[in-house]
Amino acid sequence: MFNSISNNFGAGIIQFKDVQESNYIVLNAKFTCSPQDDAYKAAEVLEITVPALTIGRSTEAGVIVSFTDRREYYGRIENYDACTVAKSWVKDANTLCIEKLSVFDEQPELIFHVQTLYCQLAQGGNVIVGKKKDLSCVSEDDFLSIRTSDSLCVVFKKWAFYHWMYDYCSTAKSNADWEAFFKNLPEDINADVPVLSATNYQHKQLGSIGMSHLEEGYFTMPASERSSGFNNTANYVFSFAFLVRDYDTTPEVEGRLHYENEMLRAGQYDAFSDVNLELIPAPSVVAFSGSMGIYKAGPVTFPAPDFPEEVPAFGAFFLAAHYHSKGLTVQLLEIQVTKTGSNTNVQVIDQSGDKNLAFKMFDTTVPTTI
Amino acid sequence: MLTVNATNFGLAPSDIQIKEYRSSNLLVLDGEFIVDTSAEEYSGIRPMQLSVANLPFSKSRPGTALVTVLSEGVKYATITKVWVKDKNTVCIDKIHPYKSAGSYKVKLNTMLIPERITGEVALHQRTGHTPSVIKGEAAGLEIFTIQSDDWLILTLKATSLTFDTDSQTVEISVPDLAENASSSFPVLYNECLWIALGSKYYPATLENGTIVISKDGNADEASNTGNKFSRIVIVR
Repeated sequence: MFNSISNNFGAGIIQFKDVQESNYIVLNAKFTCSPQDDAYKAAEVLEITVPALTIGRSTEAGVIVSFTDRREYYGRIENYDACTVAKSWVKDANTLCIEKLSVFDEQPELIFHVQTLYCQLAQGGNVIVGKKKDLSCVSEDDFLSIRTSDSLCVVFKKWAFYHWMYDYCSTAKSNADWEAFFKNLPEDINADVPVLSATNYQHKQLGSIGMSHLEEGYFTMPASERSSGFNNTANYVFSFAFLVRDYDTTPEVEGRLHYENEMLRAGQYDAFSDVNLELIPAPSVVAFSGSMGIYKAGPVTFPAPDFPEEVPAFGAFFLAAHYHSKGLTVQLLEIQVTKTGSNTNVQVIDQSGDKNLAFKMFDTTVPTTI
Repeated sequence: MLTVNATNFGLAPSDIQIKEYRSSNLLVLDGEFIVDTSAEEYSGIRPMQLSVANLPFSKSRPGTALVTVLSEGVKYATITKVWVKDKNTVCIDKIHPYKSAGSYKVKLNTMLIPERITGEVALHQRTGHTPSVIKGEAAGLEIFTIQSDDWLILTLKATSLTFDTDSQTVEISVPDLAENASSSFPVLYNECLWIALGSKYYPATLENGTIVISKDGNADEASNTGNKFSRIVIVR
């Protein structure tokens, strides 16, 4: 996290959440300024001076610029908040630029939503492909539906790309504040995320915007934030953001009783994803998380490469939640970690008689000798 | 007993009784409370939080709690995530699909550990018991425990249960079980994995080495129902 040093358009100090790598950065910030400010009027390009970034010049990216417009009609407040996307780029290691758009010149106040990834310009390199996770929505009585084919996040250790598209809301909840749980959304994201759409009945050149909030895997959006026309046919409503995770900066310790693997594979089709286990030593207790989507009885045995020597072979019973429907049915699993020479295997055994191994697990229990 | 000073979901601390065992690297929680989903505070919060007296560590890996609900006369159960957020906060995920039931019960059945603790691993031994079924029948019955002076984990599994005609219970005597371990807990089963509200369950108790599983008015199981199972954590 860092604060800006100065800017040329009359905004105050801007606080950024950041991920900075050698060839790209992800920045999150929200700040306001006034187009009526003399400094804003004088600026050709909005420039923010920042402490030295890890990249010296970037490709063009986008930030959302918006203003608030709420109007009362017959005792009801209508939301005509308006927005568009402005170009943004890193000009040099100390300067972040945002395009100044004349469509906002008459507004008293603008809000800038920076949830943006900036790539270092003209630097080649091997492509690192992210891991896509489909988002699914769990809500009371299924009142909220999202477009599952278009709702996803791409997850990296310190940040995630989030794209969400609205589908449907039940009539009973159309005027209520919304709250839902998004399965597969990293739970260490805490952010206000704009919800956008192209139609704005009061500002024809601009789109609509409302604010949602993501925290601990939950999505919330007050009714007052949903723009007029939100539910209209052919009004595509979505979010698009690069979000910094509240990643753990605690230094690693040598000898940590921990194993992590993005995917263990058994053959071509069987996978154990996001495996993450950790033990305390004595008396030992194990925390184990991960997910599988295997629709057969099993058991299934996965080779676990680079398994730490300090963690011995063990067995334990875990409780997990099946993936089906709303993900509430419970499965009893027995997991055995076995070692033969330098090879370690993780065997997953269904003990519920459910004849499949499609679950999400996040449990802590006591490991025992096998 | 865990000292609960406040909650963020409208439940008074006096209505929460949670047994705890703690060491520098372990927190074991055993207790239950009712969540009123119609409470004004419940809607706006995410997740549920217990504000507690200082915990032994400020962040934990996730553990699980059991959650049960009664919906249209049917008993359902699921699991939810529990974690230590900071020295004074235990978080418990809400169960959104249970909101319209008006209330549900959270049974903390939970072990929590911190991260980054090193040392030589000392594993427990699992004890396999030879239980005697006193009433009813329990085919394929297996009971395992891991016992310490302060807590006990019991795992139970049976391929089928036949309830005694008169008492509508299955009663199981488990020799060599610690006498000071007592609990009430759900014995879960899945008739189908695509049930919106989770697994079904039979209520059960453990007292003085005897497990009593009650049919408690549940409908007869569907023909393709899986095993009956439970894994519970008990603070002694």
